[in-house]
Amino acid sequence: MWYLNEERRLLQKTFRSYAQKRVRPLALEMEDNDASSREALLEMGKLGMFTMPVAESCGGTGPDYISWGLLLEELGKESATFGFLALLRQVFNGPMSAACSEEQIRKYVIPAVNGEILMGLAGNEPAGGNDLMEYQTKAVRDGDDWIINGGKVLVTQADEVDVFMVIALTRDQIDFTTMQGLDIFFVPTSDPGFSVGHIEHKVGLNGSRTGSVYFDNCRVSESDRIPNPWGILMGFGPELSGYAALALGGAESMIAKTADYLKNRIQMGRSLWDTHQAARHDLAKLQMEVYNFRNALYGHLANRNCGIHDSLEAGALKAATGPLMEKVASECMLLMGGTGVIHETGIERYYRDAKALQIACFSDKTFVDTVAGSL
Amino acid sequence: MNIAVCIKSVPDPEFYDKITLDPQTKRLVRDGIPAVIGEADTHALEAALRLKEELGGEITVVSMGPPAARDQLMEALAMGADRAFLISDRKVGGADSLATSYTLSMLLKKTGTYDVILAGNESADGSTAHVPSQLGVWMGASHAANAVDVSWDQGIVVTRKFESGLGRYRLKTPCVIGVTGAANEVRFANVRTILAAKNKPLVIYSAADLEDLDENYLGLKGSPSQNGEVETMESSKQCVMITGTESEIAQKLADILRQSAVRKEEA
Amino acid sequence: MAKEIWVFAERNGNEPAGVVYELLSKSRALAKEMGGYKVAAVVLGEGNGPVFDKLTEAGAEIIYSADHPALRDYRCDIYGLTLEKLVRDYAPEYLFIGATGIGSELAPTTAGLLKTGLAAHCIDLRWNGERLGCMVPAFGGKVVSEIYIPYARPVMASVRPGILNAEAPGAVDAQILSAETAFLDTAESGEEFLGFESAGKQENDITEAQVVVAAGRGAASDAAWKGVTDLAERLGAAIAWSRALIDTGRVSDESAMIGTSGKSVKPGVLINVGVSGAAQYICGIGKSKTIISINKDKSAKIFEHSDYGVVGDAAKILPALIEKL
Repeated sequence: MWYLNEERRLLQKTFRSYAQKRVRPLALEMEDNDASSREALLEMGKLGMFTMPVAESCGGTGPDYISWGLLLEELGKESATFGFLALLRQVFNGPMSAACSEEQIRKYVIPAVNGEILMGLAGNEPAGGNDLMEYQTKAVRDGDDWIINGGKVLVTQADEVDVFMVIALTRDQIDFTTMQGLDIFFVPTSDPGFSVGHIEHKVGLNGSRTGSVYFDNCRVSESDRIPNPWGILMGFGPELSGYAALALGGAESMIAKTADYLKNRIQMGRSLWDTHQAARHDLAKLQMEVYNFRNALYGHLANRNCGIHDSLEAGALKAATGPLMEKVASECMLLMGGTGVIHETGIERYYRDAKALQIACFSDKTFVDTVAGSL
Repeated sequence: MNIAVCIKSVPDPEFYDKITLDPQTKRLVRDGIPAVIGEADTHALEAALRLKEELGGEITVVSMGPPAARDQLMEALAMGADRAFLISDRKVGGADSLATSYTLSMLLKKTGTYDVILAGNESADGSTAHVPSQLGVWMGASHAANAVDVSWDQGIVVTRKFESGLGRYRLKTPCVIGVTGAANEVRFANVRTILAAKNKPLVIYSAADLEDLDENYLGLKGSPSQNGEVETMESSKQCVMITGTESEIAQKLADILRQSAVRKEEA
Repeated sequence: MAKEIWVFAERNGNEPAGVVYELLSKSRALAKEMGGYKVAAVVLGEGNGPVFDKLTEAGAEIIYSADHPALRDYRCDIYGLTLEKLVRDYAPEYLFIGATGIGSELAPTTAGLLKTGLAAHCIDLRWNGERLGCMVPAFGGKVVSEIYIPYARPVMASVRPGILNAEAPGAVDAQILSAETAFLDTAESGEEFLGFESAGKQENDITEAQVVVAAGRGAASDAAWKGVTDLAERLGAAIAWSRALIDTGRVSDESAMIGTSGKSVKPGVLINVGVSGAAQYICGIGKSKTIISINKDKSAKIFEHSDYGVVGDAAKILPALIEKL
């Protein structure tokens, strides 16, 4: 592979080993019992796996997006949910590095990178749409502190994180000329005013413990207010290509599993692989799509390593994630027959995860108009 | 504490079912099978990392093998070893365990003085489990194989595994220990350590670089044991499939067991 | 060079270890084929006397006994020195050692001291009229290589326990030679023996059992596992397993694991339940007489190595079988 060098090969080997030994046994548990991935995620942090692509000043190892893609690809081979949760660390760490104060970097960002704390984001609200103006969660100044009240829905890892970044209105209206009126606060979940509501049952990405959270007179200090909240909000985007890495890994593992099955399923002394050209070709066509997808992804990541950050390209990769996974899962299930649709075979899971991924971070539907706007 | 770890680059055991025997040359065909650090060697390295964490010091990794074995040394550096040496030379190739351990002992002598030398108890491919003991003999050091535990308690303490139980021994240093997979759980390499690996010293020596080498003990020539014929393990069994309802199958199996005269009351 | 085949007679208390019988039996057969060789047993320890009768019954024509307090507790360097000295004093042509915990390190140590060749963990020793071929598994049992030692003497081989047959021998008149051990009075050891922790009574000895029920990954479910344990109890069989079953977490003890990294079994009947038949596993079952395998997957490799095969669910077949017994 053109993007692999010795260092990345070593990283890839470690990522693969971690995914197989730690994530593989967890994948079905997360799926069936919504089991927590918290310990494994913190362990990943301690192993330095969240240092990419984070600036060295924020505890990272610098901006090698390709190594980061390799990590998510390997995780995606075992569990899209786990990979998604690992991806979120970067989704947060990247923008935080740029938008936080030095004190916040020491207190929150570096510990998050090192797997000492798990960071979350509480953004979505039950009313209104993507319009931040309609948010109901409010923060009111009280001396050196802020008092936060409100609730959030569809929060990933609602009952698993140590600190939430909470989006709250600090004025009646956001002033879009000064960009004032909206703020983001670090709120530890140990705050007595914090509580967790219902954990949702979803079509896919089970184990991500999506749920509602409530803030009832949560008190945080002024130093926990992120100085540049728009840096966080506008910063979400560059990491979107990570979703494509998850899908790539998922597609690769489904194709490998299916090929293995077809080669070992013996009928009348010959394997299905040998006797069914159509099946071979169906799988080969999927593999060709994977080649193209892989080149697009690592090309994009290589551009990022060169300082070229194209958010529309990243969004397009993200929007291609769900459809690719859905298609590969659908075809592989068909090729494997009965075995393919068995839960434990682990392919139908990707079929459902694909749907959830089309909505994760942004809905693929809304992104289309963003692209239209650029034309 | 100065620690050395001996590792071997071996074909990945995951792919051993892909190894075939060339009927003409009688040589094993292992094309396309990736190389890895031997499984037991990774446990030796882990034991070394733990000793270093407890007692401080430096970890040197040594290996003998083809130039490509450098990749496995790099991997050991990525896991946390501090420096690495490879002896790669046609003169040392084709060695049995006696010649291998001689060469390794000379490489160790060339590269430093060590308090503890750890090695995988056996390699994944040859699996003789000779090298730790014979390295100890060549170096005139105390040695223990089959170690299921290595720790420090007023000296190096190893636990040897026997059929009837576990024996604990304190070894005089310098000592050589063959570490088994039961000794520890191998860590995942840390990303920061992996990224630091390329800046650590990795030296490849040829036989000419080692002083006082006695060629009589080197390579194929220095190997008292030789390889003869190679057979692949193929089964000649003809399997009779038993079919029918569960009850019929059970009856047939019971009959077979009876014919084999193995029911408890008859035994 | 003495025309003698030596067997290291590892002591297990006042009994020779099981592999010693196997080695003596094999050595007698080889001595006959090779012509003019005597079979000797070498005992190291303190108070060796009680073992002698057992060794002569097993076919040792000569017994070399090194009897000294320094040999009471096993220490590799002291044992190695003693064996080296014996070999140098009496110059046997062949020296076989069981690849036990002790033997698997005493053998390379002694070979290293003598600078002779050693074939490791052999599964067979064959005389082809000119040379002794030591059959050694490699690559996890995928292949078996012949190792031979053309010039160096003695020819040394360590042999896996439980593989060779121990034929009932006739009693022989044995010559007992006490080895010179005075040098041990002052011998210094680099090993301080701290203590021994017994593994306890091994009731589930899979290498000696006449019937073995072996469970693989396909026997990990509660129902299938119950079938395995019930059948083993009914048959008085030992229960063994594959690496794959350990991986499921159903069991953790590696002492009952079959395979190249585990043990070899040689029962009259081996019943594989949910074992797929990885090459590593197959290597450990080759000496079994009758092999019956039950597996859900009709393409399972295990069937290629079985006498009888059943494609089906062990959780259902085993209870039905127990009923018929």
